[in-house]
Amino acid sequence: MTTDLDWRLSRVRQAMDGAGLDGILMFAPGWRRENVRYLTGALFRGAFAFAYLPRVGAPTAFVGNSADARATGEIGRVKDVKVIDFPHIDDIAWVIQEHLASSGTLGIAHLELLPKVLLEPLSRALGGTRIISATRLMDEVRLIKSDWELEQIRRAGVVCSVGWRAFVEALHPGVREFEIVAAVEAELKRMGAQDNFMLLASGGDEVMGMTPPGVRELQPGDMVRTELTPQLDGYYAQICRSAVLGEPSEGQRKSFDLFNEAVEAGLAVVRAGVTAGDIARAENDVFRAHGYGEYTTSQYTRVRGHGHGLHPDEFPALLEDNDTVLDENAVIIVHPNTYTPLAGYHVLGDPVVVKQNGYEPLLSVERILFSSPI
Amino acid sequence: MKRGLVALDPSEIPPGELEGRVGALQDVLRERGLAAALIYGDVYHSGDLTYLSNICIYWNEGLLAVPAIGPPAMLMKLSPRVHPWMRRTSNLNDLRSGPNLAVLAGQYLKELGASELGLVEMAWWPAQLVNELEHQEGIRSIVDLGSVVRERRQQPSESELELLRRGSRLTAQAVIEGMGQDLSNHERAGRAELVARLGGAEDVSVYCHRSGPNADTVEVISEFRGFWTIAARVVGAAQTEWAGALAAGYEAGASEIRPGVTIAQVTTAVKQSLGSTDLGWKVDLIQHTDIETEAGYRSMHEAVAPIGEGSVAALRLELELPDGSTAVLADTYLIRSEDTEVLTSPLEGVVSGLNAAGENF
Repeated sequence: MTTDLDWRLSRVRQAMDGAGLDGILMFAPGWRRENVRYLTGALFRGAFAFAYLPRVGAPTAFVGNSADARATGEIGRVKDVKVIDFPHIDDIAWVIQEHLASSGTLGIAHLELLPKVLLEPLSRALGGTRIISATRLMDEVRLIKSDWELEQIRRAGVVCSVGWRAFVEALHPGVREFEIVAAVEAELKRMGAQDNFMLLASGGDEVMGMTPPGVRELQPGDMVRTELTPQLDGYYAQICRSAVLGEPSEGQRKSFDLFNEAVEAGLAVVRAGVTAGDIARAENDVFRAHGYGEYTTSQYTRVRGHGHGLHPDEFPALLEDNDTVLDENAVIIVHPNTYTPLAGYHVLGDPVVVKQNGYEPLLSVERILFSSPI
Repeated sequence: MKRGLVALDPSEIPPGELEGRVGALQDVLRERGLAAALIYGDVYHSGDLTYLSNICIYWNEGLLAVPAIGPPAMLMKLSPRVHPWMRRTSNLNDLRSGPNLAVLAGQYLKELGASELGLVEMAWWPAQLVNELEHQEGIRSIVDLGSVVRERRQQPSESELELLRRGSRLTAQAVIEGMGQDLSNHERAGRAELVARLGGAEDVSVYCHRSGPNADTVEVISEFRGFWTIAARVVGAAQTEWAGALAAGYEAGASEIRPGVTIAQVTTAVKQSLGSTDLGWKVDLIQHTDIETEAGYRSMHEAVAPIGEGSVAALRLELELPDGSTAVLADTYLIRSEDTEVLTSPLEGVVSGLNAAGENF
């Protein structure tokens, strides 16, 4: 019987074959741990971790402290776990040299983030080994989720829905933005979330985007927007919603209708085989049809959605010029978040699993313009 | 993650304070004949940038550019749409966004007419970024400025000390809230997080876990206005056999804290106290500037260096228990010759329900 780990290793090795890699080293700095998690399943606390997978043979994990070694050992996917004293990386070089000829090619995932103090001694130790980036390779590997991974993301989706309800309950006139975040964070942690990526914005049609919270007090009529992304057992799920304190204005209702139509248009084209660009185009066509096409540009917005999984903002970005094909079991959020003059920055979006003939929704939260009593 | 309150309040950071911090770095640049310094930061590790500008890199990466003369500029991968918010919460006006930091830096330095450049803590920069910078047009030489900013941060001013005190009290209060009886560890984490975020913490890490079969550890690391503090306690330890040893070991380490203290001295004291136990343990003395990364970006030299008068540092003792779990005690201290102060003092005792002598209270 093929285990989930076998499935993952097979995907990585297939990609390594395609790229001509003899070994792959995954680097995890504090804010980009997704690739090492993909192999080890562990939640790390230390500033750095690595995992190495040779073309043939078992993977090895390298961590900076005994707690991370225990966490890796308890998961049990990677049996060979070495505690190393960063920035001394001799052990990593030795393990790689055991498997990889000096004329071989080593791919490093997140090579672009690898500190000088770690990369230079590694390069020296590996002599003539060709080192190339394997960041994109791993992005593509992680795009398609296993059944086990999908189950984790569904669980994160449940926590996400609970987090949104806590958000709405926290909305009252006079409440300060950071107090809303506190209420949501507390609920997410109580539910077992390890982390959360969250931005918000409150106010009227002057709001151009979301940021971390400030001391602004909510006022009747405010629209409060958020993108919250809890992490459960390593996997993130994201929700984008907006809520109004009191009765929504005509502009806010029109804005919601526009964004909801765009989300529905985007979701309507989701199925295995479509490109990221197809979905973005479907969303943007709605804005163009209503005369708001200019607000789909980078002046007002970043992307029309993106993947998520072991990282809250994964490949591919949903942009019209992105021809990445989405296969079955990719996980994406469709969110046409942008500014329009109707009601300022508006966020609305749902994460889904791409299926052969459509998609599987990951949230139970209804897609409406929420209204909090004042 | 950095999703808590980000604020720039003149009552907390007096006018001129940020400029003074930048000015100290500019003095170094002028002494060394350098036209500008660049400081790299990302969402996980950006204490130096926050110190100099109050900027919050809540996502992705960025560079703070400090010219030898003139105001600093921020170069970032974040969208220009966040510039108005960044101007409100920092001392920066010159904000530049783009997908490639080396290209942004190259353009900035070209405008400045700068060809000789210093990188703060170059060893920890992404190697590829340094390489790209070296190939930018007009860059003649790049030197490593080392930990020049972090070293200055390790001698906090009175207003910085006040923020460290407030942050420490908040961290301690979060631990206290997490220590309620009959709570699951998820509930402990939720309560601690709520207190820290409501108190204005910008970033918080809460670790609540089993410590053997009968006890739990509650550990909180928080960032308040750019200043990091830590505290940890054990709940239910009075029911355990190891609590007395843990408390005594911690107190032995804490008794060594005075100006000039080294990790070697603390380790010796803890070792003498824990000599009779066969449990594994690990003790660390961490400058407040290194709490952000749990000392992950600290060099070996920095780890063993004496901690000076006026510094704020954390003592953290971790005991490895027979079932593979750990118990942790930690506090944040202001180290002064006349009266070393436990900044996380709202926490009573070192182990809930037990004093250092192993007696119940």
